[in-house]
Amino acid sequence: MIISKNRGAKIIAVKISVGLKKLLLASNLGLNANHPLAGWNILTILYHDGTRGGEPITLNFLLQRYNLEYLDTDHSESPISDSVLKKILVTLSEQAQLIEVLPRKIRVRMQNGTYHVQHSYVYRITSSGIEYINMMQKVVDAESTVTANITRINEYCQLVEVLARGQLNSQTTKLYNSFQNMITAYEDVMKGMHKLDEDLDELANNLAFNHGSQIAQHLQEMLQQQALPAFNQLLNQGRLIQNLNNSATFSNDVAQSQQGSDDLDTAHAIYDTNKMMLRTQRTSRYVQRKLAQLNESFDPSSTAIDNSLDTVYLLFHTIHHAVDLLSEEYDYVQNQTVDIQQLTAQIDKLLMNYRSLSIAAPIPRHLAQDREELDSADLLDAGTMGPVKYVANARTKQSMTVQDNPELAGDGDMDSHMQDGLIEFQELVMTDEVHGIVDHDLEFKSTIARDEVARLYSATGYDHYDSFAPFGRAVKHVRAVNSGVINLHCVGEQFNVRLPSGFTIDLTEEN
Amino acid sequence: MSELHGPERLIINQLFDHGVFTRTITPAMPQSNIDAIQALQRPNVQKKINTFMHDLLGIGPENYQENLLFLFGLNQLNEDEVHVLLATLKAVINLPELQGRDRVVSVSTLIRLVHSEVIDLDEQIIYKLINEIFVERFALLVRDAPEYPVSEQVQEVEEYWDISPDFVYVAQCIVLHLQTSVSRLHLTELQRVNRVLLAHRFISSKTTPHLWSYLQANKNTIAQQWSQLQRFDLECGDDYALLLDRQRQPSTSKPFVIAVKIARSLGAGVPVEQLNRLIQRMIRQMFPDHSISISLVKQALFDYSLAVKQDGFITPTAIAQRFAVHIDEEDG
Repeated sequence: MIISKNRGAKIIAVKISVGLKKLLLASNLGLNANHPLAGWNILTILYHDGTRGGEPITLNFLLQRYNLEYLDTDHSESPISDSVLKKILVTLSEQAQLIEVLPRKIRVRMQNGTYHVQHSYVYRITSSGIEYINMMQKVVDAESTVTANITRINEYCQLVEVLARGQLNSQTTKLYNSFQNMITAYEDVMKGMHKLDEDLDELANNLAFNHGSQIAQHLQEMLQQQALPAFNQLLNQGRLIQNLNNSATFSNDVAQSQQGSDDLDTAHAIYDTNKMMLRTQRTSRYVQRKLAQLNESFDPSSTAIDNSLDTVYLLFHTIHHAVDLLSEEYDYVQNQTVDIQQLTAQIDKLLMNYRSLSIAAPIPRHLAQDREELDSADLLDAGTMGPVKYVANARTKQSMTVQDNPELAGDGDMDSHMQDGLIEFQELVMTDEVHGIVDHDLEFKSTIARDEVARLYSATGYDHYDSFAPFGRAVKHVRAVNSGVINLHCVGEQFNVRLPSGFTIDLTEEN
Repeated sequence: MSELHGPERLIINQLFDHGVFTRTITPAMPQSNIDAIQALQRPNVQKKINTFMHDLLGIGPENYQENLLFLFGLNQLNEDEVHVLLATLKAVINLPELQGRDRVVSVSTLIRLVHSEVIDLDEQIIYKLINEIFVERFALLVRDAPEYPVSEQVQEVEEYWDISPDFVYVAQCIVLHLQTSVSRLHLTELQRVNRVLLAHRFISSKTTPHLWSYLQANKNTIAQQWSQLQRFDLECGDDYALLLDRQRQPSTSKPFVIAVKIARSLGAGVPVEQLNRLIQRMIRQMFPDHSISISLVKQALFDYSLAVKQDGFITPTAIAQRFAVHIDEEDG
């Protein structure tokens, strides 16, 4: 039972830092577009305000706190309604499991001086929620906190050895703490290695720009004398991890140790055996899972390397990549018998007094050998040969202009022309509905009819007539006749179209 | 003296043309060049080249790991040219592009780098000078452009330069050359004449009378010496001598023909300010139907050493009279 107190107690709201805010806006905890920070702010209220006020954190309390202190002024967030907040809380509790909801009895003090007891739901942050809040903060600060250092690797190795030796018993929480430390140390090492991997990529660029044999040498030393031994050390721990993983009792011991004599858990204090049992089982599973994960990191099989998020061989790959890079650089330096830095320095020196330097101008191109006589002895007495004659051609090139284009035929009224053409074609060529013959010179008035006749002549060279259709009629047969050259002339034109011979034409009957 | 062989001639001729001969074999190289590079690895070939050039001119090429440098000329580059040359050397050898297999640099990048060193020249002049020195003279940079698929529409094509794989060696060689102080050479008369013949278009009896008389007396020896390169023929006129280059094509361009005609009509010389009018009149007279740029004619006049500018006058040179122009009026 929790007793409601005076609401006037002042609690200072937590300000979100800029970097964190950006991250949260991007991840939108609580899935509400209008209140993107609501999820985070609720966690904060539960984590921070809840522990100080001593007030039951009901929906109402959250609503008030939120609208009073946590609205995002930068994005002019409007006050949240209780139904919206409820939805967000459901997401947080059921989906994300960052908070939990518990039914509680609440005593409310009435004006008449008595207390009224009512049922309500109170909200509480879970361990995941606490971890989430801290973790997100870490994500933002990672650039300065994630480092690869040898000391951390050593710490990790020592912890593994301590655990493997089995000296710690489950009486106190020391075993559990050591295990936990070992896991975080390993995670730190891996995070550091990921970062080193990224950094080396950048370094590759720098090496390329500076030809920095000194930087390269330093890096080489670092890798050879520190990173590689550390890698070997890590690799040697693989067996110990494997032993721990295979041990039947270890995970249980750790779980027991968590609730050792110096445990501060409240369930421990009141000997809530059910809860303690539950906790032991949960921790035991956690230890097993972590150990399996760790063991996988040391598994040299390719599937394990592919599947594991943090394999120790990643570290090897990183070192290997760096060594490759350095050998390339070394090769380049070896290949280059000219020391660029020294040469640059020399050029810089010359540049300082470039005004006093003399560099020969190029040799001019000599005159071309233009003598036709190639007897070199004659050339030595060129005075007797007279000058070389060059012929200048005064011809003007005729250049064409727009005016030189032939006149374009006007488009005219095609339809009536077509009709005229058809009539003329029927008169001049066709003998009946389907037969026609061209066997003498023809005088046209319509260019369309003339063009059709000329086009039909070319059909004499084909057996298939699909491409020919005089005035839309299908052609059945076209055959050349021996009539000699046929001239086709159109009124007003100064030329004839000349066909090598005449031809007969059969059109398919129209149905 | 033993005869020069093909590879040796090729190397010397290339030194005359470009001032450098580099040792890296590239896939695009003609076989004769590859042969020359391989021949240069033999000490007796190097010795023969050195001997020939020393006999001819009194100096030989400088050698840096079989990369040859031959900086010879009687005129000097001006301050700006030297400045750009050094700044370009420095910029190129420090390019990150030089490290990988990709030896291509964008023209604008390089010009910007050089400009940061040579701040008193604008970028266009820098481009022109780099082009003259490194693309045309030394051929250490080769013009390049990205290859685009035909269909792709490209608004702006960026220019690139391919950097010679031996750039660094030549740079080192040039720096070493500049660091050594020039000791006075003791030259024979023969070497003096040859130097002038190579470094200038011609020798004239008027401008260098003492060399002229020596040349007149020894023209057979000199001609024989040059003939070993199978490239230069010595032509000796009444008052001039010059080397004719068999590797060049005679010009038949109209500006050149007009320039010859102008040079022959200059007489004792005309004032500079009358030149343009003279050229204009000549163009109208010779090619009435053509539009020919005056500046092209003027350029041909000086490029072919047909005339010189002196004290405000344009005077014809000794070789102007060795050309004659016949105009083919026929239409066809």
